[in-house]
Amino acid sequence: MDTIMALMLTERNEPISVFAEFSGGAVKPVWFSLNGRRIRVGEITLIWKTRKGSTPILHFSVTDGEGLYEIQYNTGTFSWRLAACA
Amino acid sequence: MKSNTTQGLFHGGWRPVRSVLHIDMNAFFASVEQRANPALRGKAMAVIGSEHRGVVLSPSYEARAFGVKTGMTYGEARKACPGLRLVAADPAKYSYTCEKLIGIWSDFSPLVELFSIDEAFLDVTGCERLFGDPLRIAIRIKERVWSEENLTCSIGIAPNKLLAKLGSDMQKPDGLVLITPDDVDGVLENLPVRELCGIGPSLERSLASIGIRTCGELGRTPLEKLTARFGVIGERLQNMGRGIDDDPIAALEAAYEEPAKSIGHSMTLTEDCADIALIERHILQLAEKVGRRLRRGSYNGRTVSLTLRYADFQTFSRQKKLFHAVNHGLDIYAAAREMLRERSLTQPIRLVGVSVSNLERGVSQMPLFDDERKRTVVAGAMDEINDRYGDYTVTRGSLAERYWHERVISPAWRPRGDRQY
Repeated sequence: MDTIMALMLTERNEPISVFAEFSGGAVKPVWFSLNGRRIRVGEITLIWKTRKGSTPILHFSVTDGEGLYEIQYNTGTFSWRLAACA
Repeated sequence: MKSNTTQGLFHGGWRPVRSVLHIDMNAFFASVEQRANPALRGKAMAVIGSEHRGVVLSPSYEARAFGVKTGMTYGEARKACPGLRLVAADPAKYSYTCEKLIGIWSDFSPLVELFSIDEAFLDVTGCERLFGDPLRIAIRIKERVWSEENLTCSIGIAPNKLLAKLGSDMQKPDGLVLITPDDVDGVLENLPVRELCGIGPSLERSLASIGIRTCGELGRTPLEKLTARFGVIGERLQNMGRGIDDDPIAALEAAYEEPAKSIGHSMTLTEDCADIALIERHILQLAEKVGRRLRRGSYNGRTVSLTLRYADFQTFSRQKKLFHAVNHGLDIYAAAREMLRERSLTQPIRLVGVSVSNLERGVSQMPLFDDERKRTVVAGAMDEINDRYGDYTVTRGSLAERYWHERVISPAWRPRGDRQY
């Protein structure tokens, strides 16, 4: 399973601060802080939605041109988490 | 095929026929993963069932060029393409993307039938005044799917579902094929019967055994000969050979309302398991999940089924008919466990499945005894908490160390209704 592991994002599951735009009923992360570094979102490669109970969770796969990150926005607690990164 | 306009879809110049589109998302799971991860774009990669075991679910077109096919084991896929990159499936991404695609398709017709998570039929008959002829509609759908989702699809346009599906299969990826009534005979004459949706390898062999290899031959075979060999499906087969298919579009909205016939779950285990206590715990987990879905849909069921698959893929199912219809996890578990204990296992188990059928909706027996009443109240309270805060927020102590069930997308999955989960 080495090839799979090499390509998988590493799970992080940690709270992060995100600067995001909320407009037209949509949310768009612009940058977030990670280990004191500001990661600017260059491309949102995919957005998808899941639910935790009755709370919708928005997932964003984003890249700054170097790394790939999955960040999540919990619409119930208005909080952001870094779910994984590669 | 011709790039005709609607004119071509009028048979004999006077008899209007349906305009059906079949949309097939190209290498859907793989394309979604390539979209999500730029490092995978343009690379030979495949989406696999799970990190631990399973098969190739969706190879990218770059991997297909090396001969990687759906259903191959990892070993077979790697042998075909040594540099193949493998990604574990993430069903939430695909189901959400599918919901967005349904939104696009529904803008063009109210009659959308989801054939699977990556295929749909649209009946666009009568939509011409709004959106142009069927060819124009197909082009607009392809443009929107690309601009909004960065995905490609192949579309077949034909007077019925059978031929539309055939059309979308003819040109991949990113294809567009129009089969008009005038084209049908020419397209089918020398087409191998296996190219038709619904004719698999076994039926193909049976047809070959009576000298039928092409659709043209199938369509010309006397009905008596086909019914003598295949029974009631003989007429359907002859119609397929002639390109005739009156099957209507089963619109999504109707499918959401359609009551479920059975509700079940199964899990492929990370490792083959011979430990009966552990298998029983897996059965309890599945039974609780089935019970929760039954209650959510206001169902009760009288028949409980247990499915087990041995390590060598030999699969068997047992059914038990209950005196009362049930929707409580423990009742389902008790029936399934009894069936498990009636049989001595000869091999470790690879897959466990529990389902409940013979369903009644909106009818339930009032609990008469105190114990029964308490159990119903507790189940209701647990459902409320889990609905609000997420699965397994409250669960049985024996499921605290439950199996982490990798979610798979059932072919019957629909974005809403009883088949959502």
